[in-house]
Amino acid sequence: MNILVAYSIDSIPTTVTAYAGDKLATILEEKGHNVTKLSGLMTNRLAFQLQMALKRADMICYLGHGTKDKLIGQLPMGLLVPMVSLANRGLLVASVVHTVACLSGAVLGRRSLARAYYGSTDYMFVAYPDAEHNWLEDFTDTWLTIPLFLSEGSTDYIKALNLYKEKCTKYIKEYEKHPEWHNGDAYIHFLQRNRDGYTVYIR
Amino acid sequence: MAILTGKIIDAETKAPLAFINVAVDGKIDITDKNGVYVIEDLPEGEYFLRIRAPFYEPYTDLVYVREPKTVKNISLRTTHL
Repeated sequence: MNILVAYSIDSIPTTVTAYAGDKLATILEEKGHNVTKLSGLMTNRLAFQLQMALKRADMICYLGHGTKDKLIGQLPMGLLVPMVSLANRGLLVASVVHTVACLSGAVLGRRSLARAYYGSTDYMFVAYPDAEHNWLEDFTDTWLTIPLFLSEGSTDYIKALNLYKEKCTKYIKEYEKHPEWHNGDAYIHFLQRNRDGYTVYIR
Repeated sequence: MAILTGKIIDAETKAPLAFINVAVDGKIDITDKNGVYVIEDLPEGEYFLRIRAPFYEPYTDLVYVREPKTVKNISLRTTHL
């Protein structure tokens, strides 16, 4: 499977998603997939369009900043020329798109021409490791659920979504069992929003 | 009695964070427009300082508060993409 993994590194929260993006790309490569990485400054519209022209991706995984109708890509350039917007959404035709980004499910996902578009209609929250618990690893695990499931060849997009939501719920329940983790309440809230706002649009 | 005070800023922009909820052992203060919180009338000792703010990482830390005043400045990282 040809898979494009794009992740920006331009702010504190994107250091977290970059970690997840790099981990995702590594696992997919180990599984034998043909993975192309666009990271950091390469997470821009020109590089994305060139890459899609050279080698159409069966699955596109994007991790970074988003708005309702854009996948921004690397800042600050992405604010002027986003990596993906409604104007170039035609590039998503025939691909499955998985996003870890704020809000893009609200408009871009709904109007995209992708075979399946996974995105959040809410803000998407990241997590940081701290002394009491490595929240980052748990959140990363949730984000990798859908692309790893689909990379096995499944086209059951609803099942993939449900697996993601179940993974979020699993961690929420785990945090509830550990009241000694002082920041658990906040991360439960973030996971609930990551879960409840996440959706898929299927063509 | 001691005072615990400090300034809360955004870790990336360094901008002060206003209207942030800061709690210490049942006492609560909200940061002002300069990001400053002040919690008064604390007996000297150890306390959990707890901060919750929308779109920022949760913060909990054990702080030893000494008379007459202890300053604890904090920078918070954003949590949304």
